Amino acid sequence: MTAAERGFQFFNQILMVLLALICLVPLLHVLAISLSSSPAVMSNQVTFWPIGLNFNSYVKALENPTFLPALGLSAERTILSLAISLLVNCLAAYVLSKGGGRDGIAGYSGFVGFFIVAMLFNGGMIPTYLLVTNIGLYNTIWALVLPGAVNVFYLILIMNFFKALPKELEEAAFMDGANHWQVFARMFLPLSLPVLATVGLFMVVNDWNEWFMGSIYMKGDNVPLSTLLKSIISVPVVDASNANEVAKLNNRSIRAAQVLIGALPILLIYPVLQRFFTQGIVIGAVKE
Amino acid sequence: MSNKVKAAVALLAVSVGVASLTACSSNNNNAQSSPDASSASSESPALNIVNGKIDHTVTITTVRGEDPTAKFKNGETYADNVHTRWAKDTLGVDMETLWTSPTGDGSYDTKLKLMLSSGDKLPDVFVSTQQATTNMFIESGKVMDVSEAFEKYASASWKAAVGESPTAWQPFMKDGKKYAIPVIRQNMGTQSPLWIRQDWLTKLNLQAPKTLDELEKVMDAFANQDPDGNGKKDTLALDFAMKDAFLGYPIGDSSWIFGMFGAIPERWYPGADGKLQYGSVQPGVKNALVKIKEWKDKGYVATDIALHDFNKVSENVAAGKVGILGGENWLMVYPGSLMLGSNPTAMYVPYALPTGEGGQKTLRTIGAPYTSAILISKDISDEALQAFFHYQNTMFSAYKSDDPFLFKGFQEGYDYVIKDGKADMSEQDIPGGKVSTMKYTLTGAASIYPSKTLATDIKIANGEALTGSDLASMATTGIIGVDATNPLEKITRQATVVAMGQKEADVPEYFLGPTTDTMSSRNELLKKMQMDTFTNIIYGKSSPDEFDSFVKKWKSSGGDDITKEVNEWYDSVKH
Repeated sequence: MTAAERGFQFFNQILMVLLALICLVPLLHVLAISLSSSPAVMSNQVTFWPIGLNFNSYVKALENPTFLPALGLSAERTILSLAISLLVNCLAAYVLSKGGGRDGIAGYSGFVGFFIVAMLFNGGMIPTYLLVTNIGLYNTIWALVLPGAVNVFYLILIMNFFKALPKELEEAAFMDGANHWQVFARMFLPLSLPVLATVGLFMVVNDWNEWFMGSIYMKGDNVPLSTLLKSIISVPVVDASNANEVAKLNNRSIRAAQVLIGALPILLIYPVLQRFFTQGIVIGAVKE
Repeated sequence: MSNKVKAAVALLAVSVGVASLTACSSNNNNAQSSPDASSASSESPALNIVNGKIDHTVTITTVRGEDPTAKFKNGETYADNVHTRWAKDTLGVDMETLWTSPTGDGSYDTKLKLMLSSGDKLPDVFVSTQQATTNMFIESGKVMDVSEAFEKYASASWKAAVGESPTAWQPFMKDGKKYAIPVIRQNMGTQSPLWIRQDWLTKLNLQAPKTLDELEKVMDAFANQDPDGNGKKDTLALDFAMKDAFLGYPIGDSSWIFGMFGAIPERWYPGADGKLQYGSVQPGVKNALVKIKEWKDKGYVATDIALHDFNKVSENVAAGKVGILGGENWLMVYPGSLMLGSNPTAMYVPYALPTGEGGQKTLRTIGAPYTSAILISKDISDEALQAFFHYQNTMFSAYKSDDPFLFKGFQEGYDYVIKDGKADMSEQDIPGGKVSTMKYTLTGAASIYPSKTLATDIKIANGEALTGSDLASMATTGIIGVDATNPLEKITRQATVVAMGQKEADVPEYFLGPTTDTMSSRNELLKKMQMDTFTNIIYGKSSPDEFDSFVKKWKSSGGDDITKEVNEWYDSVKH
């Protein structure tokens, strides 16, 4: 290795360590707060090391009767949403990837126009709310899953990937007697793992963190974790009637604990999916 | 392609139209059903109440904001808990909660607005906490004019309680009619006494200040003589909050600082001519700003004071760094108790505010006498309306009873347990922990009769024995008697007594009407102008004379119009 290369390596590593620290430091701070005692937290003494170590906040967080159901609802929502969104987006992308003209589908540009308009403009909160409640989705898990099922941005990502697949493969399959369903399921899907992994990861992270739909479409005791966390994190207005409870609550520690528990699944799922996702990209690259 | 896009846009427009049509049609249904209901109501007889219970339970629908500090146990919820079961079993009032949503992040408010604009049927009775939202409902014409019903059905106690604060009705009035019932609270104690670290005074051998000059001497000692004895110059003689606004912080209130110079910024109150004037443009503010700059230069207040808000001040108090501050009567409960957690010998004691510049009377703000508004749907059945009043009247019956355990049906085992005929309120003795049932009530708050709760508070502060009716007057709060396990509660009441001694200093907000036209277009700009000017003067970036040009600019940029509109409103409500 030349001196220049060594220098590059050195700075590269320093940079990466700094980047890693930027990501890690806030988490460590939240962890330290979740494990510290109330006065220490309130007087802002806690940085990265717990002061007055205790696990009360975790016990309290898990004792909250809505916490575990909310966690379950979030998991259910994420899985359902992942399955349904991937399916409908892939199906639409397959059809649209055929393009217009004599070989493609009828009304191609109409469909594309429809999707693009839907992506750029939406009805706004009140019409959307009216629609969701009037078709009977209010306070059901489907209110969280169905309205966002078709995401045009992901659809275009997948469609472009499908378009890039060699046309010869598809033609060969048709020669062998396959129909569209078979081509879609046996060839396009397996060949598109990289893009499916990428889009899937986006979907999981987004569904896990999205809180607003939960707050307007669900009843208060039946909300996903992100909505529950949002309501817990927002600071209560302290007044004469609740000063006592707020003082006792040590709510910053409990909030920190709940945020960490809430972030845990994503923290665990990310490395696993990401490994798969980078692999996928490598495979895709080699194929070209 | 562009034709297709147009077609798609048209399609969307049509679908939106259809959605709003459905909304309209559901409105029509409501409108059709309401005349029937009201025509029936004029003839419908009073409810059949046997031993306080309505014969044939009546259901009233409601929605709830979730108080982030409310706790539940035994698997209870807002919809089904010891209080709702009590109301059903002993009063015959079945409260059906359609939905709940947290108040802390504004979700409750968003959902209320959605409910209104989407044309959903309103619940029979619900509470709105944000004035702007309340106004939306009042404007919508979907909530009832409560004047007549309140006159007809409210009990003498409830009427008297609300009657103590006639201005509490003002925000909810339109064309002389009352469209919501204010939820009254105790506002004596929301104004600042001078909270001083007693341990610091003692250590430095100082007396509590009675004048502005004495106050400066104490501040000098607190800033420079190392009152906390840690050998570092890290104490703040004075702390107050001014981030985004000077007023509205329950801890770190700054109104009294300006009040020592005869003005209160950001408030409308009558001037010498009896007309409402805006505090921020009064000459006293200039002198106060000059003084604050001087204090900052001398190191009495933090160098980053412009960034202090409620949380920052609370943090500084908890860290034991603050010598003097203004704050509501519960300062020692929060954040004071957190300070005690790391420094058990620390203590704030409430003192009367010092006299102002040239010995003049000091002014300060006092909180509004109400917290929120009870709105009643126009479509409520007469039965449900009477049931609601029966429920509320029962809550207010505490003020004519001498039985402290009036409501024990829902409080025992939650707020307290009864031991040897007395209420035991210590956390350890209550199975499953202590929870506050007053948050389960329909209004989410205790039913307050200000003068009666105040009288009891004063008795407790003075250590006098409480009679049965005193205890009963506290029953709706669930705190029956003096909680010996929490000595800080007593300091709260002592602070109320200190604050009461200076009642003449209290300046409430006089303008309680809806946002005026000029306000909605100009307030943002005027507020920014004010914050910039004031901050620059405090930080020495512009000369104090900048204040005079601010006043001129304020008046010409809409301030004069706003003053006119505010006074028009004021003339319309003052009789």
